Amino acid sequence: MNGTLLRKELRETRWKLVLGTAVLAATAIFLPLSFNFLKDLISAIPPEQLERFGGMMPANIFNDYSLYLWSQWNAKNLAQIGTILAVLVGMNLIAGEISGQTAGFLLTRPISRRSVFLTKALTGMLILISMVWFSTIVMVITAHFTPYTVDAGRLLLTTVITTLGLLVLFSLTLLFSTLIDEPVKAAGATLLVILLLVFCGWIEPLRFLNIFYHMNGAQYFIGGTFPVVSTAIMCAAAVVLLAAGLRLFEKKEF
Amino acid sequence: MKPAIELENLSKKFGKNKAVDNLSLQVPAGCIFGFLGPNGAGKTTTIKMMLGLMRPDGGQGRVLGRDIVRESEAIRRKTGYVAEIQEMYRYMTVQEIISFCKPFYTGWNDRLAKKYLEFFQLPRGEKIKNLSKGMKTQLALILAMAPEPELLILDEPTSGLDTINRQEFLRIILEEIALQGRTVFLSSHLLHDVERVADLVAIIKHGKLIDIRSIDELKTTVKKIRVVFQKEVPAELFSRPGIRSYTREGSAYVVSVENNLQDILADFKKYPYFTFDIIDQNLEEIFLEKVKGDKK
Repeated sequence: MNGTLLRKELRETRWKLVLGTAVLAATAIFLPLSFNFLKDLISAIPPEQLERFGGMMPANIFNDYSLYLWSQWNAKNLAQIGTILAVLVGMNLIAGEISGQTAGFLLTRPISRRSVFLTKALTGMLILISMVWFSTIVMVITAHFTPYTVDAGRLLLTTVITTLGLLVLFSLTLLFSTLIDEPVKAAGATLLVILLLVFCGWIEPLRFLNIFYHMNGAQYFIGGTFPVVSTAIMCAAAVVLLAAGLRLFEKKEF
Repeated sequence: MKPAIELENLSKKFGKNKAVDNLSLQVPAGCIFGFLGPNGAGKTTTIKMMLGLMRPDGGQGRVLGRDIVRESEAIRRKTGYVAEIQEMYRYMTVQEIISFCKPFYTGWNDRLAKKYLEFFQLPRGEKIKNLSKGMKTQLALILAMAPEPELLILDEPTSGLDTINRQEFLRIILEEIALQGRTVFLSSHLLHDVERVADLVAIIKHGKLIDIRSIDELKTTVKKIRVVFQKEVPAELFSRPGIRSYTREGSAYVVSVENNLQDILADFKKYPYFTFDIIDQNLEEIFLEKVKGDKK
């Protein structure tokens, strides 16, 4: 890892960090505070009409404040906004150097390609983790100011699982950022693959392909058992994607 | 003394196109080496392979005694490079890009960086995106020279500079770098510039080495002979080794000679002539002659 490059990458990504954190933190503050409002709203809807929403927000989640927070944060907003942020952070890291024609300048400094790639990967991960955890902690703190009991430990442990999923999506973006020389196209390709995996997830035997199924932590939060298999799959996926990106970057010609 | 650069049968293909084709050359340490060739000849590709930006498909190379594939990081530690297209981080200021590059090198010389900044009158606080092409080249030269490299590779460095800055740039190469015993590898299409500073030149075309010689040797052996013979001379006279090409208008001939000048002159003078002139050629004329084509 290279400190000089790390500082440069942090500088280039700082606005994404600020805006991403702001969006996630605003959502994190809104969710605990909107519990009563949503509970009243849902309870006012007749059960037969509620079914039309396809179980988007089942009424039973309002029986448990922690369950409500998990369902709206880890299983929904953090996963969705976090995915967009993972793609936004990763898309420019390699492809941005190529489209900006600065790759030649950087790679003619005495630094190995491995070090360049790993520094960029680490920067992206640090930024993503910072955004996710700052906002999650903001949500837990906000929840403590409400009259309800929050199972902070369980929420935070589930967020570890969700973070791991987001790191897989970041690694996928970094791979495409290495493969495709244009950041927007790299982001598009990543989102396409994610959508494809989500569609695969709708078919029961292929459900394991859906990253959101693994990263929402339902098995732990609802079932009570830690998702060892999902965690292992996500760890392996992140390592494989990063290794593939690194190998590609080391062989790439500029 | 070990050569600064040794390339042996270096090759690089892009699809079916051979960008560099079995290129072999040696650049002695401490010399200014002119690397000439028309556009698309493979000059930049060769440089990129020397710096590890591209991998050769065949052959091998050593720069400063290090293998260009396995030890490119070590090569870059002791090599300064000014690229043809100077793209740096546009949002950084002049001072910020200097501060960014400095930690990569152990031998960075702040005094030298300051000296050239003042010499080129580059404003430290100016953002790179606001610099002209010439200023960016000057900045790239500062970044290449401040680590006090053993080898300086310049790829078309003067193309964006005005006449005054070009002269100063060349003066720096001559006085500040070459006189300190460093090697300069100068790729340029501005032949007058190369002629002014280079000790040795290589000419490549379609990725192949056409010629490699010292400037002095090139200029003393490559000549044109303009001769008007008094009567018809045998055609074999122009197929002697060393004659590259010739043109004829009546009994007047213009003959391009690239070797064996004395022997050719002696042979020509066996035939009676009205006029006989030996014309010196500058590097540009020699270059054009060499890359132009085959014997007529």
